[in-house]
Amino acid sequence: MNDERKNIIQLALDPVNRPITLTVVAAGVWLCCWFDWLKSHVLSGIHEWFGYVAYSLVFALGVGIAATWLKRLWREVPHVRLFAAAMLAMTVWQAGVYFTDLFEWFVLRVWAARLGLAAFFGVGLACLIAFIEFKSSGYRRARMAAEFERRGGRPAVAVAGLSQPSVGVPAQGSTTVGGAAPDASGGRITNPLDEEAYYYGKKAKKFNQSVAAIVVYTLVFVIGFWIMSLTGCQEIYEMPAGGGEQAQLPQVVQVKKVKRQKFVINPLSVVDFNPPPVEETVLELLKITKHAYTVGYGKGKGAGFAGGTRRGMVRFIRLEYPGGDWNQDMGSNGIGPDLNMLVQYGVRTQHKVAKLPETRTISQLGNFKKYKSPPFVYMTGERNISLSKGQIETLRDYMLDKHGMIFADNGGSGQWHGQFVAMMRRILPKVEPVQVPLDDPIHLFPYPIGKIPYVAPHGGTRALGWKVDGRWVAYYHPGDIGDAWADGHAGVRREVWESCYRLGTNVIYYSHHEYNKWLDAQNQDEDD
Amino acid sequence: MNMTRSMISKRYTHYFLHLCLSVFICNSLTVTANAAKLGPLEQMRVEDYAKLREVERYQLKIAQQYYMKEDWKVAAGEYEKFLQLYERSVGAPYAQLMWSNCQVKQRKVNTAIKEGYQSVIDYWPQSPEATVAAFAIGRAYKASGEVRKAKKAYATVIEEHPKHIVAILAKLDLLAYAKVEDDQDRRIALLKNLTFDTPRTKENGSYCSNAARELASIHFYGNAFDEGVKALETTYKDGSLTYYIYVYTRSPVSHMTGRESQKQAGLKLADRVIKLLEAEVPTDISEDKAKASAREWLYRVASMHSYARRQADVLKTYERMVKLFGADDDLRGNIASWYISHKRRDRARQLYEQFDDKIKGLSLIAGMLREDGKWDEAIQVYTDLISQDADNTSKWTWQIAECYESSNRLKEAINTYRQTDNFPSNYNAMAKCHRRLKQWNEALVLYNQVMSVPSAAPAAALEIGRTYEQAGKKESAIRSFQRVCKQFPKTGQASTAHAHLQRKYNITVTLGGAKDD
Repeated sequence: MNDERKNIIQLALDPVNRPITLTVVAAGVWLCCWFDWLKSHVLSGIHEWFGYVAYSLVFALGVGIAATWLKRLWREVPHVRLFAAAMLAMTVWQAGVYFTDLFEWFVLRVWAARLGLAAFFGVGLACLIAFIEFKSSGYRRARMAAEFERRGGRPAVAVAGLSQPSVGVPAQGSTTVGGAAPDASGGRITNPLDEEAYYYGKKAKKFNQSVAAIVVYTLVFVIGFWIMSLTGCQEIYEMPAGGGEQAQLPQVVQVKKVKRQKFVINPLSVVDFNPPPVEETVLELLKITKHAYTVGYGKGKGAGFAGGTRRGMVRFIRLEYPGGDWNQDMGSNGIGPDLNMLVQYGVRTQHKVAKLPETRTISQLGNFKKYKSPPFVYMTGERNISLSKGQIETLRDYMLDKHGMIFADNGGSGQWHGQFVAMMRRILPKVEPVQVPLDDPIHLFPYPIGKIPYVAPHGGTRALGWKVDGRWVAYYHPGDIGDAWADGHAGVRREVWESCYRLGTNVIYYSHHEYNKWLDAQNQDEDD
Repeated sequence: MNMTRSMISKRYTHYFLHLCLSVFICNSLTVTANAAKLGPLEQMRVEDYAKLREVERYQLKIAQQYYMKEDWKVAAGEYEKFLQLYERSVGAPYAQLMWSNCQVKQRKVNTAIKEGYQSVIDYWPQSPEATVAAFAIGRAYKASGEVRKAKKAYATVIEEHPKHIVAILAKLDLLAYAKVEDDQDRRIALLKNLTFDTPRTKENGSYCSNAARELASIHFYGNAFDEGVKALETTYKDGSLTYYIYVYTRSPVSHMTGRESQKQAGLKLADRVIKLLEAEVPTDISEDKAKASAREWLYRVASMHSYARRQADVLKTYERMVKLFGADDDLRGNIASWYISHKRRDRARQLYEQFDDKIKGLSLIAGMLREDGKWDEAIQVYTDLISQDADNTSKWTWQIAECYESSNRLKEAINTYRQTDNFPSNYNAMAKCHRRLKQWNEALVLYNQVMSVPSAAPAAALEIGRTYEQAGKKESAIRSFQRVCKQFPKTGQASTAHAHLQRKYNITVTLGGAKDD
């Protein structure tokens, strides 16, 4: 056993095999980094810059190695060349997505991801067809050689048999002519890589094999993609570590001194000169928000939540639901106003926030672990909401068992108001919606909201809420708050969009605060 | 001279007294009228009001005026002023209560509870306002979605003030919770308490009656006929009892007979009700009053058969009525409806033709023809109606125009709509036809004329945008939609235009954003 292991190591370190060994090791590191960048965030958790450097090096190295292999194998047989090209394309795609994300070229990143996926599909298909062709021609040659040997070195009678051996004289023991070909043992061929397999029919076998390969590959790709998007792997959401209190952010007003104009008035002047009264003198005020208190929960260091982790961050997740336009205002880059709100939340609360907003389907929402699920998801639209029974169950489970909250925003119609209320009636049939009071903590911390700001009163002017056990599990904004977060702010006045940002901050903060309270209570229960 | 002066003085004194009396009466009437607008829990007791000083009354009146105008913020300020100025007044708890109400109206529910209602209870525990405040706390918790706290507050009210009207109101709110939570046992217990155990007064009578009706309905659905009747007996007697039994058994009968598992029970229930209804039919119908009464009860019998899905019995009842009272338009109409529901339209038409009121009969025939898609025949009938009923020419002409429009004869429809006089509906209808004919300019001219009517202007402005859009004039369409947003920002049309601009043209246009409530 030890000898075997030594042999393997020697074989790997052999100067001939050394490039392969290095490539395998590099591929392993590359995969680990890839997973870490997407999911586990261990490297970036050590230090943000350490993560950046490590990922950049590894991904750049991956591209370099793949390019070297392509150069080296360029003169080999087409299949090997194609394989090497595919590997290079894969690493370039992955590195492209990473670097565009690193440099915050978000539009480019989205396109790189989309085009890369399409290219991945195409390259995979090409590789599969090449592989099938390679194997298929191998079987054909083997069969012809066997036939040649059986005939004592005489070539087969039918010339067409070179390309279509089954049309020629049947092999010994065969009972059919031009029918299902037998394998070496005389039975039917079932190997799908062999074009003589019986299920490819009697005519146009090659064509049937190619069509079958394309159909099966596409189905597997689509189903795989669907399953990934439907269930995915189990996800986690962690809040940023830190502490703070549920306090209002004090407004510090810095007065910019304005030189007052002096008017010298001749009381006997014939000109009717009316200087403005002192009360109407405009003072240019520059409001600066000073963080006299740290907004958060618990006694951790810095702004954040005691139940959070160092890797955790506040994420803005938009809910994908069937039936309507969940992606309203997201634009071609798939970001929309969500990013603005997320950035504003980070600036205002000093909490660590994600670089980009995200979207999740209802099924994906169900994949989040209990105690590690998003404290809120954002939902908007103006058309229909048509959820299945299972999706309703998932949302109920999210709101009640996982202590989540839906932040809904009517994106443009009275119809959506009815749709959302009806959806909530299905999710929580025993809870009636009420108008959220203006002096509720959700409207007080960190910003006191004197009145509900709205862009257009699509569903009225009052915010509705669904409360379970003293906690808002759904907050419905009737007037397109998302429009105010967008670039240009839908043309509303500054005070309105500023108030909309504040309200958004309050709702996000409330959900995290409540989530942390719940985590604390759970921990206390366990301790008891 | 002195005497004259004394007489004049007396007369003036007399006038002055009259004037004062008039002012006092007017004032009292105003206060009474204002008070009448306030809810029973928002009013001060008369005996307490009588104890107030004039200045206190004056301050309360000012606050109340703002309260009536729904200017909650100012009203709260005025009540607060009262509390600051006259803290020891008899009216202080009332002012504190009303201040709290103002906070609730401003959607500051938590402030109302902590700083308002609770203060009334803490500082003036013996005052009548404290009782109301205890209940108002429950209501405030309800308004803020705190179900558990609301229930607790209501339970306290019921326990501490069982005979006060607030106890009834608290029970009603608990009943609403039981209904939402589908807690049938709790619901029935509360309803029974309100129906049987609560002495009826002028204040709570309507609440208890409603509870009795609800309880009866539940019992009827649960196939407990006698229990239901018992509940209704607490509120109704004799003939009216039978009538309400009929009213509250209709839905359960229809519900039960629609389900195979409950069909027999439903039919049995219907039979019991019909038996009661039949008992109410007078045997001697020689007098008109008795005849009318018999007619009403028999209609109810027919209706109950219909709810029990025994259609043959419905017709039999109508035929029985024809035998008893002779045929008239009302009966003919009902029988014709029955025939229509059984797809015997020719028979129904025959009955309509027999109508004594020929105009009504013809209009019903025309309606039937329109349902059958026989437009020309319908138009002919309407034309006959115009000749027979000249007073309603516009109405029948409109019907003809609708027939033309439905049969895609749009030019004729436009000409006919033009002959009607119900502006702006006729212009809207004509514009709609022009749009279907792709005559955009004509449609736009008509919509612009409709714009002169303020109530119809937002809809017309929106349609102008849509017409431009259909005509392929994108820029004009955008301008029109933007105009809707700008000119009518608070209407539903503005919301539609706003959403449409954003969705279709990716244009954001402001509707002004939030304003002060």
